[in-house]
Amino acid sequence: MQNLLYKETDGLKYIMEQKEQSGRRDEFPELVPNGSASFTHIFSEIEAFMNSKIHDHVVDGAAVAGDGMLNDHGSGHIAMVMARAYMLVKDNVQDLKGYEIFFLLLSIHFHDVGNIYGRDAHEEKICSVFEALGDKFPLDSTARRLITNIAMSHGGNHDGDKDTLAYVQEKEYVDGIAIRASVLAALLRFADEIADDKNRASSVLVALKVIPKENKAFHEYSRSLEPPVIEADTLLLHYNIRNDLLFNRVSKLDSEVFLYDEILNRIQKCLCELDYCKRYSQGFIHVSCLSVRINILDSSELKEIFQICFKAKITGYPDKSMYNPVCCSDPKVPAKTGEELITLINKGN
Amino acid sequence: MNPFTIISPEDLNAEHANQLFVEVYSDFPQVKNAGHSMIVGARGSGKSMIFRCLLPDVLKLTENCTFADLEFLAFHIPIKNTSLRITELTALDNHHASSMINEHFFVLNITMQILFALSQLGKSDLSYNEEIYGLFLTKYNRRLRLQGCKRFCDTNASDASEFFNQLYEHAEEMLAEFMQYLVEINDLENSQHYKYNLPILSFQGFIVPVLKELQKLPEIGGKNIYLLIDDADNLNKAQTQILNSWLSSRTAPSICLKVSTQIGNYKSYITTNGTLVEAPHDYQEINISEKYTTSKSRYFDRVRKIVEKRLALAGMGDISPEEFFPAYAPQEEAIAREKARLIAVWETEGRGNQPTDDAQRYAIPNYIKNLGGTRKQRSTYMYAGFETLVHLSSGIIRLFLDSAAAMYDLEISDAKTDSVRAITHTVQNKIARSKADEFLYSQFRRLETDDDVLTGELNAVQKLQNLVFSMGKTFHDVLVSDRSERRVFSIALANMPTREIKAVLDLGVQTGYLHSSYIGTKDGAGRTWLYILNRYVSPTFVLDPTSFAGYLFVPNENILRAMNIGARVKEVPTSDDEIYQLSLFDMEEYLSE
Repeated sequence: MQNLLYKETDGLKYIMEQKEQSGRRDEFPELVPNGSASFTHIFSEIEAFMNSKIHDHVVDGAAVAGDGMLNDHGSGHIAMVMARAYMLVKDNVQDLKGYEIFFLLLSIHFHDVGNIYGRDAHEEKICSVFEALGDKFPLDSTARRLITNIAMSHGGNHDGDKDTLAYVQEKEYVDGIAIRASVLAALLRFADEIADDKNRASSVLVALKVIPKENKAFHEYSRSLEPPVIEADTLLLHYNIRNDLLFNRVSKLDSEVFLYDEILNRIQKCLCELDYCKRYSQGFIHVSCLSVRINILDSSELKEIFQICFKAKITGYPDKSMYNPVCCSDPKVPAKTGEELITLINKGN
Repeated sequence: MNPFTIISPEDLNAEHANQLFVEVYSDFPQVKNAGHSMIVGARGSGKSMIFRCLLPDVLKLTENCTFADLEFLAFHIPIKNTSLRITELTALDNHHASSMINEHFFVLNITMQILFALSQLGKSDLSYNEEIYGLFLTKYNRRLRLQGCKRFCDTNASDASEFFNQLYEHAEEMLAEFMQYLVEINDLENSQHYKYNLPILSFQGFIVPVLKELQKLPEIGGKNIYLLIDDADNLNKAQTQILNSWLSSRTAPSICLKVSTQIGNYKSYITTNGTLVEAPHDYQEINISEKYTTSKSRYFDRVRKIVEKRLALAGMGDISPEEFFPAYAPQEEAIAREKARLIAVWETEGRGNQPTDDAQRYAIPNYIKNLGGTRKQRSTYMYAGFETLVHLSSGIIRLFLDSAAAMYDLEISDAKTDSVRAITHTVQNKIARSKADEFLYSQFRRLETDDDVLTGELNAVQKLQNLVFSMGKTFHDVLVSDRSERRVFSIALANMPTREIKAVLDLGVQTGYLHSSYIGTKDGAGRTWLYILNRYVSPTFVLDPTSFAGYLFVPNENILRAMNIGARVKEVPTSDDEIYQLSLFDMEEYLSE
């Protein structure tokens, strides 16, 4: 047996390696690209390159491009997204093929890569990194495209359409292995959504007060969130807020918000993302409820002075306003009412 | 020159196309309007001609305007006879990036068609500006790079035509590389090596952004772009599903897909991601095959205009279609006399609600019946006259023109002259009969050569031929019977068809022997399929092609017997109650006559 690269605490990387070592049919392609010991080794080389040459420049790069200083988009964030993805699929990780995990992990490495040049032209930046990787990436253009598609669907819009996961292939064979690309994209997207806790915030920078003013709310949000946990179908989100942040607004882009309101906004977004990503996850995301607890701490951050708890669910009977019939030619236009139809017909006559 | 010669629309120059084209857009406005649409029609119903006349060279003449004034810019993307129909791509199925690589190949073909069409435009259409075209090239190369291309376009063009030609040549090189890849993956020794290191062009990643850049060029400025995907039934299933994914994308009105296909032959309505595309949500469906051929139908009107145009082009603008294709006068007079007789005896012997009902229903059947006791004797019925020929063409314009061209040739040969000013009824009748026979015999044999068959078992083509003959003979029996409604031309399915039956009936529709429609079920609960026999075959079975109002309900066992041993689809009904007539609801246009 070859020397193993990963240990159990490495999560998905370890699972990937174990699956490759198992030699089971359908986990990985039969042939490893020339010059490589295994797909796990290929991943490891790419990861080393990405961590040393790409990720640690992301924050500075975004700042140069005028996007302000974002919270951590570097190698720490990549590791956190991988950990969150593993947390999401832990119970049914055996249903993912080794080669799918390989694509998921690579896509996680590429999902924020564009920030080095600013958020515009994401595709172009991924393309540039592939070019810079050269021979370290011994996979063909179909694999590159698949990774690009998965990585690019984690936010934004596709020509104005926010349903970006719909543009990712549901299933595409690569080297004889069927890759459920839209499932991987959904996992990446939701893992990224919940990889925003206190380990991500640049705490030192916040303490030093060097965070650009317009990004303060993002940093304070990350800093207040404990690492999330999944219990049964519930994602537990625990926040700790210093009481001065409860009573004073913090800057967010061009305005100012209460941190508590920012948390509510983010809970709403998180639930929306959960609902959306579940539709494409083919059962791999089984979370359906967010349990939120917010502790208000005194200025020493040691003593809890107040606590508020609530739940946000996508279970139960849905709000029917989400299912309004819409016009065929323009989904933004509601279908005609009876009265409008009669007016239209009368006008025609 | 024969005024009715059929020239493939793709081979028509703009002037000729403009001279021959008969306006159809008022009947089918969606064809010309912005939005994705699918134009379905039988083979020969004029789909390609409609597309030909949407292209800028013809539109400039039709609308008497300049290129810059055109409302939209259409590109013809023919599927038939192109390299898209290669089977080597199936080696990728269920193995390596089949949908991505198929899409690349499809997109590359479309790109080449677009670039070629642009290179054919004149200097007066596109004015070349180095700076503007340079910017376009930069964006074009950027898209190429993002799609994995490593060699970019360079140009030293001094006009737009040369510019696009150089882009075309670059795309041609990409195609050559791609073909080399296909050769490699189909090489048995290397069949494990599917690695694909060529670009992957996609609709969303290449065609759409490039066309949007194109829309910034001066004379194209802001025009909607139509991609006319012609004969899409020739795409393989993977390519069809890729096209469906494009149809489901919201690129209209700026970029519209106009897809033409033969009825029933389009291979899938599912996208690559397994979602359904359907009209009218994703596209407008336009069925240009016409069942109705009566003198008030739009098809009749269109054939008249086509014939008038063709006669005028041949220097016979003073002759009407009725004069050029005269009916057989003694027969017309005898039928008129029979009509008068039926009206006269209506009060005592009449069956219809009004005297004219009986005249309309029974005059021609009675005349045919009185021609003699056997079908052979009845075969002296003359199929002649413009209106009869329109009915025989069954709503398919190519069937009309094909017969008319053959009639013209025979008339020239018989008359031993260079030009004729009318086709005699004998020549019309002779060609109508020979064309019907050809349709029923030679064409079936041609279909059969492509059909796999187990020894001793009838294949689908043979079953269809049996069924068509059985329908023809049954309908003739009914025509010469004493029943009330004798002009039966259709069968309605009394039960849910078995897979075997449905496959044969579908083949009938695809090959044009049958038209399909729907009708209320016998018990009034729901609807069932109605299959109308193509009236082109009327002369062989001695049928009256002027109406297809009557139909018979036929159970599965009868259809199976007809398909397998050629038995009648139904014995002549003993009661008038067993022959149904299309209702006003089913056939409003027909009954409005």
